[in-house]
Amino acid sequence: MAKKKKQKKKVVLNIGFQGWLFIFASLIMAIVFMASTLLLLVGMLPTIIAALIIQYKYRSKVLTIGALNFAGCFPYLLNIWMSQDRVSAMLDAISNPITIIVMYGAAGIGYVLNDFVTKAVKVMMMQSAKKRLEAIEKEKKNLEDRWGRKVRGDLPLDEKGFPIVDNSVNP
Amino acid sequence: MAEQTTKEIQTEEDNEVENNQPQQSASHDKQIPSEIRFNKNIKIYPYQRLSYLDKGPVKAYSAEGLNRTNNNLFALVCDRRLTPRRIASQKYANMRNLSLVKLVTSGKILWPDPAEEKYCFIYELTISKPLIEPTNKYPAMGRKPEDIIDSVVNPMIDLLTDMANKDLVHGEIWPGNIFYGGGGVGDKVTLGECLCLPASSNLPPLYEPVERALAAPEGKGGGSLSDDIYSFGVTLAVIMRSNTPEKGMTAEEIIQSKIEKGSYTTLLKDDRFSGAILELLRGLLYDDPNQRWTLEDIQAWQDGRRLSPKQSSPRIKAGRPILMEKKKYTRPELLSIDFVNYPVEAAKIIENDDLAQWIDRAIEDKTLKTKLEGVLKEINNLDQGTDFNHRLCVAVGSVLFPEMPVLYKSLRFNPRGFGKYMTYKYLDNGSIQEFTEVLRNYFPSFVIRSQKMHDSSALNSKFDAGRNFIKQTKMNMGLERCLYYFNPECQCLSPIVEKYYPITPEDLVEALEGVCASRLPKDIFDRHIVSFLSSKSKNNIDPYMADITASEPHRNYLGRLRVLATLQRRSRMKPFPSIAKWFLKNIDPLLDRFHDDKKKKLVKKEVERLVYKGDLAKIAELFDSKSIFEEDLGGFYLSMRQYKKLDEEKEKLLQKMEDARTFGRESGAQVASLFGLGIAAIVIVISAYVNFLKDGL
Repeated sequence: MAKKKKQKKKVVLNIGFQGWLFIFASLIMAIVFMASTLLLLVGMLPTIIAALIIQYKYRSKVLTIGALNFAGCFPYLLNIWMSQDRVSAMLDAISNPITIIVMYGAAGIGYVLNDFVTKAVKVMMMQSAKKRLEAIEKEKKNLEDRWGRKVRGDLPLDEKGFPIVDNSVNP
Repeated sequence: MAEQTTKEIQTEEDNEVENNQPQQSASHDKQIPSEIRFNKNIKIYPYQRLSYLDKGPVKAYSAEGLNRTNNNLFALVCDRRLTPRRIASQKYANMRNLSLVKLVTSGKILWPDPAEEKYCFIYELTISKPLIEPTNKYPAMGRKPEDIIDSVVNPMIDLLTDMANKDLVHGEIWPGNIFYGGGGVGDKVTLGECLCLPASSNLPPLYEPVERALAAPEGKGGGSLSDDIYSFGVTLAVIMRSNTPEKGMTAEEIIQSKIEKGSYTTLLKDDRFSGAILELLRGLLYDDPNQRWTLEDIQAWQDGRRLSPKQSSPRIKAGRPILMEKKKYTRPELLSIDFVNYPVEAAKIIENDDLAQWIDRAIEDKTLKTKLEGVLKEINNLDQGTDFNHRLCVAVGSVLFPEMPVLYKSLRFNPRGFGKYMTYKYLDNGSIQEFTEVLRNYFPSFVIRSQKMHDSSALNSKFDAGRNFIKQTKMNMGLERCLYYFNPECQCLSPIVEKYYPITPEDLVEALEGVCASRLPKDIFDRHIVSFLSSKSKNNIDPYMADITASEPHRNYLGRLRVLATLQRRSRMKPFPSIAKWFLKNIDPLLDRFHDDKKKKLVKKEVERLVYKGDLAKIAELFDSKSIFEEDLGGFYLSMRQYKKLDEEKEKLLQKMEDARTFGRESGAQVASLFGLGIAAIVIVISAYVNFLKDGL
């Protein structure tokens, strides 16, 4: 436990100056672009949840969801940027269920797309691996045919590369 | 004439090349042809036997020379068991004496019955019947000395002189091998040949000094001029005597009589000679080789100088006999000869000191006693093991009768005749266990030392080397090596080339080609072939001996190939497609040394291509380059690494595929995010465009 605490402390410390500067700049930007930030905060909620619950090694799934989620938010974000009153435009968008459905639907499409493509790629990769296995076996057989069983390297060989016959076993 | 003979001898190879397919011929034609070509110029007629010229198992046939001054020839076809005197034939061919049957040529011939190669000597047929029938055991011709001086004595003395000048020992001077007629003028006789059998093997014991007569016919060894002079003396005695005092005696009894009474008395006790011829006979028939007349003495006699016959010093006779197996002996020579028949009793009288006391008290020869003690001390220091009695008998016998041959169990040989004797026994009944015993033990050295031969150290070294060979089990050692080491004139006795008569490494390769042409043998080398090549062509085979004798089949194969290829290249021999075919058939162990199957196929294809050319050297060259194997090994290790990588990749893939739920999920999500980003970008651009259009910008 003590070690873990020490490690955590180290992580905090490792953010460094650039990290703190980035966080600070982000906060400033969020305050400056309050309307966009709030829209994205609400619209990108599925992505935020996905980022929290999906394991680190499957982060590319979050990227897929996030990319499509952002694509769903982008028309409304553009609308806010083009409006005179950005806050009211933001509130209109958030209060409109269609907007929410579009934004969250896009995230859903991202999820489905990720699932479908991942499965398709898995099947393709499994087929490819099987073919590779067959090719390896064929290649091994060719090597054995050409160089003999001893090419497997599981027999003790003499300096000329021939199996050492144990005469004590087969006198 | 002699030059012509030499040329004809040099044509042996042509003849051999023509006749190197005995097995094939045997299968094609079972009938004996009416004539056989020896080479282009000589025909032999197998149906026209000349039995009066036969030499025991060596048969004589009528032959005809084409394009020759004298086309009347005869052929002596040798017995494979009895090694002919090929080395002596070179000296014989250079003889220019009309009193000796003229050698025309010699070499191998394909004999039809049974179909196999044999060695053959061709001579001019200028002779008629021999002086006596060879079967006549107790001959006496009763010719007057004055009748034979010009027809026999003088021509024979000239001939002996010529042979001595050429360093040729004839070894078969006896009336059964002296013929009426011949190249001489008038009634001069002609001496028959002496090459087709081991020296003196066809000479009856009557005509030999005791020490040679005791040896088996095949184990007498080369002999000396002194032995020829003795045989000449007995021949003269037989021609001139009218009585046969030895009639009814066995060979052993004749030997015993020669020891007890001397050769002159044994042969001529019932005949009276006087004057010059008596001097000659006494001089020639001395039993002691040191007292026997030399060629100079004979020539002096021939020139008319009369030499007072030396009194022959009698052999030692004991004052009282010694008993062995209830038999009394007063002569140490006869006692030692009988040792071989009663080894147990002999060992008894040696070990219980009876013999030493007999020598001391009955013979009274201190030197002999000292020698006996020395030999006993020496032999008792050696390994006594089994058959010690037999070895003891040989060692002690060499003291009592120094000139005696080695009499061991059933063997009777002079150390110089060991090789041909062993060859004969090996081919005759295959049992040469006793020869192994002779080689393993040191007792021939006692005989060699006691005989004080001029080449005794060389002979001792030879037996030492033989002992060394017999102890080793390598492929080029053992008894087979001894056969070729002790008998350098021996043909290769390998069962693989049993129908052939290979006398040189080149002959052997040609014989192997013939064998492979008719039927591919299981192996192309055996202990005989390796030993034969090792003896005859040390430089060609010894560098590859480690490979030939290795336990790995591929090294055996390469060793065989390299030896034959070296012989083919160095001797510039003809192509050997059949041998190459054998190598192709048996190439698998060598191909197995390549890791790369593709390489194996390529190499085999290349060998197949070279087989038809019969170029063994080219085939061997394929495997001489180290890089060919190194490249292969490099490729193998590379492939091994590749195999390992594939294994690892497969393992990883399988591991990933094991969890089907997670497999590809990450990649899929990444692809999906790309899709999502793309779609989002499109939506953003379109909505911005629509908004700008609506606001009229």
